[in-house]
Amino acid sequence: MIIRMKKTLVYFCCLFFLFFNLQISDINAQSIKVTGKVVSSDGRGLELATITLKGAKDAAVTNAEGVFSINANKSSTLIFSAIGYKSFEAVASAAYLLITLESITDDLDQVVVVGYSRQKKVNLTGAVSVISGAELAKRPVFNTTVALQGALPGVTVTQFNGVPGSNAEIRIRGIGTLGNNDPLILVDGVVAAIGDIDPNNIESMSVLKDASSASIYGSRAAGGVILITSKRGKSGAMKVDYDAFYGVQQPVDKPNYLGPVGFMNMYNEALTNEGGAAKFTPDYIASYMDNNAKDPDHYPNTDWQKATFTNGIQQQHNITLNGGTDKIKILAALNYMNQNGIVNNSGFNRYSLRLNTDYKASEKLDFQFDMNLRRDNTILPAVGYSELFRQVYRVPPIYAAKYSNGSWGPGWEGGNPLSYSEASGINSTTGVSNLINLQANYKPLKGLTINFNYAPKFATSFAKNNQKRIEYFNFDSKALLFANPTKNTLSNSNANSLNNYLRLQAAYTKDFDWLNFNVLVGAEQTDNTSQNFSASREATLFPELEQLDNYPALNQNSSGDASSWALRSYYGRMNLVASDKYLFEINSRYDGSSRFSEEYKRFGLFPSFSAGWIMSKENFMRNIKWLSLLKLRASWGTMGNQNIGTYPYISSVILGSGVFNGNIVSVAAQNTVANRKITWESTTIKNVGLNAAFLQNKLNIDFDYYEKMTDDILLTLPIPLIVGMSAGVQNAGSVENKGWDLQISYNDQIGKDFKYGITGVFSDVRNKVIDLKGTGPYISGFQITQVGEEIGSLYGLQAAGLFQTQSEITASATQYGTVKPGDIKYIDQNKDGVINASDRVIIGSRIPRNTYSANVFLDYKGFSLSLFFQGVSKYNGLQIQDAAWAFFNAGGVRDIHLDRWSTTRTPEENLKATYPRFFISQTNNQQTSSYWVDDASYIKLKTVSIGYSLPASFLRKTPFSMFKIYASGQNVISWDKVPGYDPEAPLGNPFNYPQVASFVTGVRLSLK
Amino acid sequence: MKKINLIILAFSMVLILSCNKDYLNRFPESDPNSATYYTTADQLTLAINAAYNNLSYQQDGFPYQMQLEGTSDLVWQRPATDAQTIGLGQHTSNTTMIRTIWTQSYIGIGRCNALLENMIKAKSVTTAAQYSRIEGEAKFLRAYYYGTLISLYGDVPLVVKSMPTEESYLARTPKAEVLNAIFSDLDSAAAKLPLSYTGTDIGRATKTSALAFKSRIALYNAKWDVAAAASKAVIDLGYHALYPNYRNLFMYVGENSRESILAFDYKLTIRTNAAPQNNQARNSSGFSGLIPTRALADSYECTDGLTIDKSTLYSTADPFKNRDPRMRQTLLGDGDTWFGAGGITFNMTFHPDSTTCSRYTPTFAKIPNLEVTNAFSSYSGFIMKKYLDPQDIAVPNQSELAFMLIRYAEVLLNYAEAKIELNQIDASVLDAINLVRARGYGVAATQTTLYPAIKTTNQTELRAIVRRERKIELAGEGLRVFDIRRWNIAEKVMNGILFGKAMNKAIYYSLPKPTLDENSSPGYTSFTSLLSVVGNFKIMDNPRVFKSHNLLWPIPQAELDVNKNPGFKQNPGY
Repeated sequence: MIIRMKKTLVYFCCLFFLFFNLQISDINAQSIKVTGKVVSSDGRGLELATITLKGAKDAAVTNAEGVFSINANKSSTLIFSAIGYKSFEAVASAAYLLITLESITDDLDQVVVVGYSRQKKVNLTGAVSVISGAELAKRPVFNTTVALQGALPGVTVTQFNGVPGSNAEIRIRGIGTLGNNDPLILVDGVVAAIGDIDPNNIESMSVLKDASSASIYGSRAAGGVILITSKRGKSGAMKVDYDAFYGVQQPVDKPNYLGPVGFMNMYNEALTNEGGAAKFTPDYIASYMDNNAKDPDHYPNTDWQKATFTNGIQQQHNITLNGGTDKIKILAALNYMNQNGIVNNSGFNRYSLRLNTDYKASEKLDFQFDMNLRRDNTILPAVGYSELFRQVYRVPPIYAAKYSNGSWGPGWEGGNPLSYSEASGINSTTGVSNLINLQANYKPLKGLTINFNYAPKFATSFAKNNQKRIEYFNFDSKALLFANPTKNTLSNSNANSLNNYLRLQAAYTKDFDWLNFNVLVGAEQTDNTSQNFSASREATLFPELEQLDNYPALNQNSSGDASSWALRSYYGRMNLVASDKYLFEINSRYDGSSRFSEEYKRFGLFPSFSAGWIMSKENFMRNIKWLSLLKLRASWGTMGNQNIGTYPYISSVILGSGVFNGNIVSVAAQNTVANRKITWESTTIKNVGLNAAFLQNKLNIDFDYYEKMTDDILLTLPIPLIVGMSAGVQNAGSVENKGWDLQISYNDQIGKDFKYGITGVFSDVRNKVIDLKGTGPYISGFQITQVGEEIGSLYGLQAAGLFQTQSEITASATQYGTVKPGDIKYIDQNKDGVINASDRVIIGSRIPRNTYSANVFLDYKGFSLSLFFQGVSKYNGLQIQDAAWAFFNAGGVRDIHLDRWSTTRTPEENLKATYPRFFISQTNNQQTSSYWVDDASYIKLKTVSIGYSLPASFLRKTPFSMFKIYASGQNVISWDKVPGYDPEAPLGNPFNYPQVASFVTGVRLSLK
Repeated sequence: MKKINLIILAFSMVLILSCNKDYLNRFPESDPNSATYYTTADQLTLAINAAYNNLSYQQDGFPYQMQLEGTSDLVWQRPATDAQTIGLGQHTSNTTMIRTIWTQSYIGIGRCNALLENMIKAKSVTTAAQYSRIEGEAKFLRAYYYGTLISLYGDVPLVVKSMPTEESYLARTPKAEVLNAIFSDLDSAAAKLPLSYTGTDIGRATKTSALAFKSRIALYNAKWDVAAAASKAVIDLGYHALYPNYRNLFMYVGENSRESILAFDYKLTIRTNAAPQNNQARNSSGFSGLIPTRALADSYECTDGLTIDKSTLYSTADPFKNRDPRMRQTLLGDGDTWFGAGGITFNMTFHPDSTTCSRYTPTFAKIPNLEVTNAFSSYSGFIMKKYLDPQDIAVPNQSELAFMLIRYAEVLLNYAEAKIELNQIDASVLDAINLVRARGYGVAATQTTLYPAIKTTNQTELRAIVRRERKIELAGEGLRVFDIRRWNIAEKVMNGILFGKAMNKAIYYSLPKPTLDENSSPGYTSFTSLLSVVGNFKIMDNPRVFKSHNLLWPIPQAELDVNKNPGFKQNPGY
């Protein structure tokens, strides 16, 4: 305790001297050596904090303990900055300076990670958005992708469902290609999957959005680049942090189904509508519920959602040890998480261990040895989620889930989601991966750093699908009715891969009087080999023993394959900062990929140019008090995409099997048209941007406008079916994305104790197909891609409400099948008197044009509250089949369907009906049409979090230096217009795993 | 020391990055390269094997040929599959089954074309016999796929060589021209193919496959003389004969009989079909999928050779009594004993009051009669029995029972029909029909007292007889859909309400007889008045609609969306 008090005393003394020095700063102008230490608010030395001399080029960096020294004129101003911390200005003095930097989420002077190096944010010329690990930690989630949702402008994250362990989809600035739009993700400079790092271990994330920032990643950067930097050890006594949360999750946006009586009445109506006879007599219906109370086995009333769903318990524990000496620093983080799904036998768990080690051999040579070991396991019922949830949302309530004697009810034709989840066996996938990252930095000369990096990643996975026979018996006779699945089947598959990454890079920096000059050149190569093997057997009589050896060898099956790819690249960057206000940068990369033919364009060049002007440093603006920063930026550059399968240019003959006379024979045929001439997709981005800060950086505005054009898009353009092969990829067509990203944040405090901040993020993107090489439009299901329109626009007939009278039908174009009042009316676009495929038009958009979010936090003393809203607009959903239609394929009926057109309702009611007359199978109403398209815009309260940190005065008597408790909810509220499903759900018949809301309580503490 | 190490490291990096030129050369590790394909005899075998695979493609768990029967008047597809949609006349150019049959046929054609074009590369290393046989198989298969295409879609682009994508936006070739190409391929195939195979080659196309298919496709196109000659050639070769037991012909015991002219086989882990599960009775854990219509059941003659409207042997209360034995061998109906899951045998009962039925094994008991109580049990009171082998009941969705595409009985009927249309009616015509009829009764054709042999030589009467005979003999095998089109009776037999079983006890045993027309198609105008009582009948969901344009299927929309050739237009009416 005494030591701590001493520290505090020193701290106050320093501040006092600083203050004092400020007053006399103009008097003395002699050069002195300023020494001191930069620490974070918890007193720990900050490494790599930058100390620059205001108005000069001189800069220094802190060592591992946060200690620095710099020569400066006495009384000149020093600026202290570090990644993730608010910069601080102090006056140079001979006294030892102890500078405490306050950690912040966003600051202009912070140093950000960019491709292959770091730059001061103020000197960036590209469009880079940064989020700190501290900010990510405000949302207690398992998954980095989810934490990113709405956090950064221009980054659209869509969470299609709540499957435990699944990643959300990330799109940076729209959709540039019809193929793979995933951004390139690197963890500490090495290409990785987003799941390869635990969100708790993230120090910062940079998203590179324009060409000038991303083109140094060349052929893989067209979808944008996300750079993740992991936390590293800091010198000082070992610090122990523990962080845990525990909670439940529940499905949201559940559709409401009618009970037995409603179902039977409406089903009778549907049958009658189709000219059939009613199935359930009025007496039967009237006494059904009474009978249900007496004899639920013969008169079931099953709420399938209630029967099948459980509370998905989730928890996470994270322990971080952090400490070291000047020479060796270690960060070790052990993380365990377990997330149960919302049905039995579903879930995900993960163990991960990160070990980041820094070893400083000498002033000129240092090493990093990092390792991330991870094991995860995903389980789900063997029938699979789509079949399971499809049945949850369709089986009528009049079928039993489980009889009173304990045997499974038949559900619908043996489709019983409860037995599926509890008895169909388990599909389990276990993955183990180890990413090793070894780096050496050698600084032979001042300003020159040579970096060597070798990073192998080993991964194996083992999947075991153990499908079990489920028997359904007649309740009365005990006779076997169905077996579904019919057999016990066990299949195992094993895959392993090795990814090798090798890099050699040199960076040189030189400061002249008026010019700061940086140059970087590097070469890297990466190759990947993977192989897999799988085997299966069937029909054991001992299904409880879940190993292949327990199964008979009859009907066994095996398969195996391997594949590899390689990429070799050379890259460089030159960066100039003149007079601290004129910025210029050139990047270029030369990439060669095994995915393209040697004779054509295996290598591609991807250059970019950018410039920036910090206007606020010009004399004419320097004195505007309320303006802290005004910077203009512009960039142009190209990038590529090579993510098109492993061997697209090779026409290979695919082996398969056939049967003659009960014998298996081999077959082989070329199934896909190959194209030897295929080459890179290239994306050109023009970007202009503005960064402004006002009121001593309290108000920050970042704005970017961009035009992103992707050419030579690798498309699988449909070819005539008469070719008899699947279409191969071709370089065809161009897609344009234009839009803007805006981020506005305001952070301030009232008095000493009340801090608040609000950050708003807005993005706009317009997508347009410019060229399809003269082909197209092409249509896939209910989506169309054609010139002049958005990629994958919704396509179908345009509905014009419901027919109200027979005369209206007679007067209209001929539609499908037998049309009666209450059926959907379509617009005859080509006026040929017949409604058919040629009357289809674009009926909706699948790319959210606007995405926005707002992040609000309030801190008062130890209390903190944060709210996070996220939304999209100008976005459509399309739901058909089980998801939208009553009685579809013998399904149930929902409350919203009651507002149907019906002869039992008044003409006024029918005029406003939101659902056609009931049908069971009717071509006319089952056409893809705008009738089934919804406005899928939404605003969601994604996170609400309340926390309380115990006051220091209280903690003094405890072993803790920090102790915080919190409660948090995810996906708390959704404001949307779609009935009974989540607006982020995929298209069509999306009764897959539903979206979930989760509520957790947690604790975060540090040991002294 | 460290410096030296690093310099060495740096140099080695540069070396690695610059010297290893093959670093970026990566090739598929399990798939051969197309450039070296078709160069050995074994590769020709792999290639021809691949061309067979499109014959056996599955539609909704059935061989697609069997599923096609669900679009005819003999069978109704109960589940909401594409076959049901087509049967109801609600299909459009987007109907998946319509696209898939088109696609699969052209994939098969493409495989044949590529093989025929490239096989010359292996000629020097292949025996003359094998080379000729493979060439014959490829030509046969190509003809088979085109035969399917013109019968369903009319004019289709004729592609007989592989082509670059940019040359593939073709116009539709007139059907007559495609037909000539089919005949020429089949003639060539018949000359090259052997009469039979042994061992693992059984199942490949034979000389008679080519001739028999030629007789079928000629018949479909009213080329009576061609049909007669081709079918006569098969008969004269003397290799094929009718299998003595009609029921067993469609069971495992009857596989690869001399009656089978072309069949494809199944094998667990490679391909199986789910027809037994889809078609089985409810008490047998089945789904009552392809449901035989009342029109099929009422088409069987009585044992006196008269149709039910004329015969005095017919009993409304017991429709299986005194009927052509093929009725009970094709349909599972009231009073039959049948097999169920878990080793039970039970009594099939369709009477609406019989909510329980008798179980015989393992022990006698009364069990719930799902054929009546289940919402989706047989609508018609009949279940399809053809291609149902009790051996499959344990695992009903993985049947390995081979499916016959062409069999000798059809050739005999092709011959008879062609000769009747040519009005060249002689003893050989009557023999052909009587052979088929006698086998149905399990007797020899000469035992004319034991079955109702055909004796008339009147062309009109014989035409009616041979049409009924085709309907009965080949029911459920996928050919009816073509017959009702070429006979121009589709609009008559496919339109209107599909009557299921009588649900009202009062009329169940006393239904009026239908009237049969000149094509032995039962008409149910006598039932219509009974419709006024709600619940009298189980009615298949919707009335079926068949308009004249439905004689052809639409060209798949996916193809029209891509091929903008002005000569590539949709069939009228779609």
